[in-house]
Amino acid sequence: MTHTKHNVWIRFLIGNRPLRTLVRAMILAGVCFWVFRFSIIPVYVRGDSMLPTYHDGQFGFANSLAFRNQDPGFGEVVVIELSGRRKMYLKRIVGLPGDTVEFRDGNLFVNNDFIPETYVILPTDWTVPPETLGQQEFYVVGDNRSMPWHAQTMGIVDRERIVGRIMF
Amino acid sequence: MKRIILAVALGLLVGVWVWNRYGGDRDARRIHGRFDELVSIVEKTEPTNQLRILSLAQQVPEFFSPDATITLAPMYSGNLTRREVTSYLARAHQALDRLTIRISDRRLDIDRDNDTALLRFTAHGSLEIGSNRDSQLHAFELRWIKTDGDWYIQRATTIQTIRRPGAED
Repeated sequence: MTHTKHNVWIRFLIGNRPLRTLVRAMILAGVCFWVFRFSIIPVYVRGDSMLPTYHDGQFGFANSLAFRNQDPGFGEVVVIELSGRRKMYLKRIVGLPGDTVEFRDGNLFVNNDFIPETYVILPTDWTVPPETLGQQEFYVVGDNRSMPWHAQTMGIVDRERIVGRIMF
Repeated sequence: MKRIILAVALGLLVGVWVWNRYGGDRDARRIHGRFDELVSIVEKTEPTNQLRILSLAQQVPEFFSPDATITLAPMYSGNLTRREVTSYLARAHQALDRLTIRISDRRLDIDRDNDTALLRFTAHGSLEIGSNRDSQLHAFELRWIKTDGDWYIQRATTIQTIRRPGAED
C-alpha cells in the first residue's frame, strides 16, 4: 500500500516519461529566468514613503523594458537600482532633465510653475530648496510627504539607475 | 535508468549553483568571509554590556588597512579612519537596542594584477532604540587590498544613489 502510494507520487511529480518532464521543466525554468531577469521585476514594497499609493507589504511588478527606447516621464512611478535588483527604491518622478524643481509649503513647483499632485493625500508642509537637473538627471520623491523631507530618501537620480516602470 | 539520468541532471544543476555561489576562488571566498564577519560585528542582535561592546569594536580595525578611509555620507559627514570607526561603532552600539543588517546584490571584481578588489552591495539596516524603529537602504563600495597574504578594506564609500537636494555630488 505504502509502496503504491509512493509510486503514485513519483508518477505525479515526474510523469511517465522523466526525460520529457526534465526537458519541460528546463524550458519552463528558462522562460521564467528570461522573463524575471530581463522583462519583469517583482516588487515587494517595504516602508511608508509611497503612501497612500503603495503601502508596506504590497506586492506588484515593474516592467524593466519600459525605458529601453524611451525616457521616463513626469509622474511615473519607477524603480531605482542601488547595487542590483534585489533591493531597489520605489519613487515617483516629479522632475525631468533640465527642470528646476522645488517645494514651497508642501506644493510642487517645476520651473516656477505650480504642479498639482492628486496622488499626494497626506498633509505636507515641505519646503525644499530649488534644484536644477542635468541632462541625464531626474527628480524623484515618494508620495508620502507627511514625513519630514530630510527623513525621506528623495532628490536627484541618474537616468541609468532608473530600471523600470511600475505596472501594478 | 531514466530516473538516474534525471537525478544526475538535477545534481549537476545544484552543483553548478553551489560552485558558482561558494566555490572556485580562494580570494573571493576569503573576501566574502571577512565581509560577513565584519557585518556580524557591526550588527547588534542582543543586549550587550560595555565590555562586550568594546571588545567587539576593537576587532573592527583588523578588517581595514592602516591607511583606510571610510566615508559614510549621508549618515556621517567627512572621512573616518579605522580608529574613528571603532569608536563610532562603540557609541552606536551603546545607543542602540538592536541593529540588524541585510546584505544583497553583492558584486565582487578582483584585479589580480594589482591585488585589489571592489565589492559593491546593498545594505538594508534596521535599528531600534526603545520603541522607535528606523530602517535605511544604502549602496556601498568597498575597495580591498591584499597585503601579506590577506585582504583588508582600504576604502569604504556610500554610493549616493539618490542625491539629496542641496548636497554636493
